[in-house]
Amino acid sequence: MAKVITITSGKGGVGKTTSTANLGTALAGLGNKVVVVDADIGLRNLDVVLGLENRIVYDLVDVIEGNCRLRQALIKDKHEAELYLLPAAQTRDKDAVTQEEMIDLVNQLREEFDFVLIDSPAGIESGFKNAIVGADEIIIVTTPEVSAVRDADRIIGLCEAYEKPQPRLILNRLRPKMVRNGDMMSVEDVLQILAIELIGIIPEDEDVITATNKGEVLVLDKKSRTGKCYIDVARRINGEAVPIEPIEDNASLIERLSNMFRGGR
Amino acid sequence: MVEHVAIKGARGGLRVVVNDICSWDDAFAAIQHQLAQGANLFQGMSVSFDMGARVIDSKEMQSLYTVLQTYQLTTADIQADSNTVRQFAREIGLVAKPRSTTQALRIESATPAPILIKNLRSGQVHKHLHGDLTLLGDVNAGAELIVSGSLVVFGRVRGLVHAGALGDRSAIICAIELAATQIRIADVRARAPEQDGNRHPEIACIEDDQIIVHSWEEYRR
Repeated sequence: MAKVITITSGKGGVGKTTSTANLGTALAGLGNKVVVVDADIGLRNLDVVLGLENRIVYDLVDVIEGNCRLRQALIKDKHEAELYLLPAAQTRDKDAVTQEEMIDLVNQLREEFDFVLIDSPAGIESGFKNAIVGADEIIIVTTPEVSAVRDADRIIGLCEAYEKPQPRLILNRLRPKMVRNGDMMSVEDVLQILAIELIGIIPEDEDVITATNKGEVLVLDKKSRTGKCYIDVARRINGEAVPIEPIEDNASLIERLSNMFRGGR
Repeated sequence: MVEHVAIKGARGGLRVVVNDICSWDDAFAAIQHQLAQGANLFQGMSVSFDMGARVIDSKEMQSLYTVLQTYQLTTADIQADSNTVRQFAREIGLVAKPRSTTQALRIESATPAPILIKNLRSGQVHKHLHGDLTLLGDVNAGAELIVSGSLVVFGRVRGLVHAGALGDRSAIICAIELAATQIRIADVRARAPEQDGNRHPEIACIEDDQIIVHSWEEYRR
């Protein structure tokens, strides 16, 4: 039975699309048949991040309006044989789709795939509602910033109101050094506020920007630590018990020594 | 001083008891004043009016109705001893009933203090206008918890809490961690000091027209 998972955040720019692309690729790499759906109608990005922009012929709105069959709109990934993209329409807006139409579409996808990952738009308006209405599970992406955490909290409240199961959390763009210096919220600080299950921690990584610009995903880069973190999240989604390890950075020798003397790690 | 009007929390809305001895001008001014004070709190609620033995004319009824519309209140019913008053109310499309003293008694005696088990998250508002409330969970920043009586939070308060919301200045607020963005008791407001120390259980109450926060240890003595 397919599992429909929506990736959302409230705040924009925290890494929803990057997470969707990486998790989709990783889940396909684990042997699942996966479709990633871009629900950000009018501001599509997922195709760019996956490097599939130039292959788009039909989109999600075309499927809903009956201009093409579902299969015609699905784009096969360049790397993973079992990964498909259903792109958003760029020339329309959120009102082009209703909640009922989204549920219908998701139910069609359920029959063909093991995982349906939906990339939600930012915000709490109709686009967000369309993105979560058909979901079995919700993953919230946040960064360790007060504004992002506040929005994540709002989203958790809304998921309750829509009677969805309690979301799980990806904490993105963590900088261990800043946390150590007390300049950034720690994993514990964020969990204390949100009080939901953590499904992964992703470190801040400049390589994400390079990869995104090239239309590549980091999970395919065997050397990437960030890619490894996403693969671990995918394995957890897949039902494996993979422990969440704290993110260590390449602390300088002096820092490590001073930590030792202070009795820390 | 005799209260011209008393606003109480009732099942599903508000109950406004109008003094039937003072002049209508005084009572009407008091109604306007009280509704203006609680405008944000009451918005969209239904109101039941208890006019007692008071008699008002159709013009006065109409002006009362206009005020209710101004504050976006729905009128549940008008209760009055006077048949004429009930008649005037019906003429402008309101439900009118004879006064039910039993109902008034039940509302005043029944003030259970239920326990709510929930994390109130940013954007969520919980109103409890039937007296005291115990919350087992957190009130996160951006959330609002409003009660007419006292409030006990077995958890962290980072959002807005308002006790004694219908005017009870004797209400108190207790929390395991009281780091509220704003504390309100009745008509008094206080901002939390902008410092983050080690948090311990605290109790807020009104002393000399100000909200004072005591540590729990201090308060017991």
